[in-house]
Amino acid sequence: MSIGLPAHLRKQSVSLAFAQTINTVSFVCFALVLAGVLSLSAGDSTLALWPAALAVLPMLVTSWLANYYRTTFYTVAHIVIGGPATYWFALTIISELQPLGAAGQYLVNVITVGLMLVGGTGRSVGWSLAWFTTGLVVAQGAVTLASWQLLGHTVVPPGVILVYVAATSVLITLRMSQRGVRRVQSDLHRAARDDELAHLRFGLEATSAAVMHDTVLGHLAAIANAPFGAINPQLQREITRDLEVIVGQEWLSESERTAGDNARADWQSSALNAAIAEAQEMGLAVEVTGDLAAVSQLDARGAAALGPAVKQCLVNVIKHSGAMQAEVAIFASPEEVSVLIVDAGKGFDEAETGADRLGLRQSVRRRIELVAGTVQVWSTPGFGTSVMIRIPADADANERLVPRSAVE
Amino acid sequence: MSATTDSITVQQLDPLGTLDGRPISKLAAAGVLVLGTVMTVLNSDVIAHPLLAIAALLLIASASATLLVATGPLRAPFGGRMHALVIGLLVLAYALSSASLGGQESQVNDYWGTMVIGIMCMAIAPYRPVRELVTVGIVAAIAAGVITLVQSSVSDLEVPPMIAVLASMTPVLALSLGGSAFASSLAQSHARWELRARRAALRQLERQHEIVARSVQQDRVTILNRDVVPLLDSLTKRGIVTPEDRARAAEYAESIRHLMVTEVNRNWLESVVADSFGARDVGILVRDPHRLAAAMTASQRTALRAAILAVATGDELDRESVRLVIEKTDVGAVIIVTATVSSSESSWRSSLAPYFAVLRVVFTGLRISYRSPSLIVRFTYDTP
Repeated sequence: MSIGLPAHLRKQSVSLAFAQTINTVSFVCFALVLAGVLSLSAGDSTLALWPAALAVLPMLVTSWLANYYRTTFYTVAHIVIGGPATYWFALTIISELQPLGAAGQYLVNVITVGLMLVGGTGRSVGWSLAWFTTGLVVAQGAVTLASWQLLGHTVVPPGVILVYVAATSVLITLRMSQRGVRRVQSDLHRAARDDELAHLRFGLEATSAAVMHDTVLGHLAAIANAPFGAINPQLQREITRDLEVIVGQEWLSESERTAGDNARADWQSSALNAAIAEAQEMGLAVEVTGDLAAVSQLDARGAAALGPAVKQCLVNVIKHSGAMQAEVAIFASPEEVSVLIVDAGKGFDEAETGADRLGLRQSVRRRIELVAGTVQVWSTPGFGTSVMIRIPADADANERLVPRSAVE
Repeated sequence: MSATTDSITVQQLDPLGTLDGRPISKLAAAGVLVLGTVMTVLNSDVIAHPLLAIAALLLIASASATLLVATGPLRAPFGGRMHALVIGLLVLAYALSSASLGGQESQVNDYWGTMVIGIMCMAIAPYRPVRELVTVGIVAAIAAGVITLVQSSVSDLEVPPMIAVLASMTPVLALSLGGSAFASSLAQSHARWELRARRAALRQLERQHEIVARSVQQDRVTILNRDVVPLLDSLTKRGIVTPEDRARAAEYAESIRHLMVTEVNRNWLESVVADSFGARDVGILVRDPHRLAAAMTASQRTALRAAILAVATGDELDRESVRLVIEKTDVGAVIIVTATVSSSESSWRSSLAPYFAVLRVVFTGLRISYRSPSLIVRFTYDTP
């Protein structure tokens, strides 16, 4: 579903749709006339109706071409070829079916309607009107000429005029009715834009919250729990580095801007490797197994999200599990890269963790979901914890700014 | 033609455009009734069974009424069953009007009944998918042909039966296939535009990314610069942690954490309502205890956002009385909007009809109940 065509395109689309409708009706008319002529011939072998059948064939072709290409050239060609063909058709039918009767009148009427309904280029209502007025004049002119030549008189059938009036009124009603809800339509388009912007802002706020959680909040917590006296030099270095980045640089646009490019990080320079190294510096024994090269399958955004998320999982192991060993297993399929973080600690029940516990929700779950990934946690009190992070490998699958398909 | 444009209706793609095109449906509904009445009166001297002719007219009238009511903007979308019902009634009406002639000599002009079927097939085009339109059109044409064949076997026709059958099928086939072409053309135009618009929107978002990122970062840095940065700055310079530092660090950590928890829990709907209504206490206006607003799709968010803004800026409903509740159901969520109407019924109905038309397409089961002066609108959506 979508929110509809903007007003300026609607007029054009409706004109085009109307032209295609008219052309289809015209094509069906020719096909049925052909079927009618063939069935009459089959029913009565004394009738020489084959010239009429022959006259319909080029009209079927030009009608199809005029609908397919919708150019002035093919439309004019259709009328130019259709006029003589209709004349030829009427001549054959009127001369063979004496008197003309209801069957003959039906065939002549339908071919007249068929030629009259010229959709044309579908550019505007004025053009459409001009096209089928031309069609009516040419078709009715051809039939009148044939009838006058053979019978000495002619009658304009009311049915044909009725179809002309009906088609014209529908076209004009369609045109007149295209103005009612323009304001609402533009409200809707504005709402769609606002929604996209809000979504963008929401994503950026979430990213920035994750960064804040991992840096400032982490440092403040470390200071609040630090012993009095000299500050840990490692902590001092990290605070200095983070302050420089957070206050002095455009960290938010930096981390996001690289998202679209195809930069591939190899394992040595990957954020995941750095995250594991930092956890090891904090005293955690981390065993890394699996396909290390798989991280190169992630795009920059995916890789940038994975590193800090795994780091947060490892920090959680240090803080909450009571164990100082963890395993990080990396494996990949063509569609996604999966990282499993396992510890043999005391485990927990996710439902029982406090609503204000931000680590798993913000730094892991939210961050990974923002790059279209998923996080699964298996933990049983007493039996350790496993966290599975999956991130799509395909760059396109990471498209999250506008997660809608072309036609939803 | 792609499978997508085959199976989707013009109404789903462009609910407002379809609402705009409703005069055509009205014209068609009135037109078939007028056509039927006029032709019945003109043929009155050859009608052998007037009761059957009247019954046929009544069937046409009920098909017209069904079309008018079922395509109304405040109703559920026009479904496949309704489609079959309307065309079925008209096929039956054609059978009855044919039977009403008895064994009288029949003219090709008597096939106005199939013209009625054809016009209706075309009028339904915006409401049903292309594939269904084609199928129903062909089935109706075959039915009309069979009825004509049966009638030609009991009456003295001056035309060969095959021509009579073709003549009766012509309006049904031509108009129903024409209607399908209309639906297909609009659906394709729409798909093309949608693709282009998506690309343009994406480019636009990329341009705005930088601006939004800077503003978000500025917000953060402003908060940090107040207390946190001076503290961390002085700590790294002094290299010594004092009890006072610890207390301040704990205090700041708690306030930042509190801010972040609030942000994480905030939902888009509350922001939109707060922005539109300028309300400080959004909790009273919006109640979403299960946090289901986040499960809406982009189209649903867009439609609801536009409707909320329209209500907030219009004077059809009393702004103070608007309440929005999202509750859990077995399969998803239901949104219940209640409000007190502060304008005439025709005024709020016509002003809000376009929004209802859009909501009805993007959500499921839209129900509007109005007992002056209170208005209740319910609609549902699936949640993962």
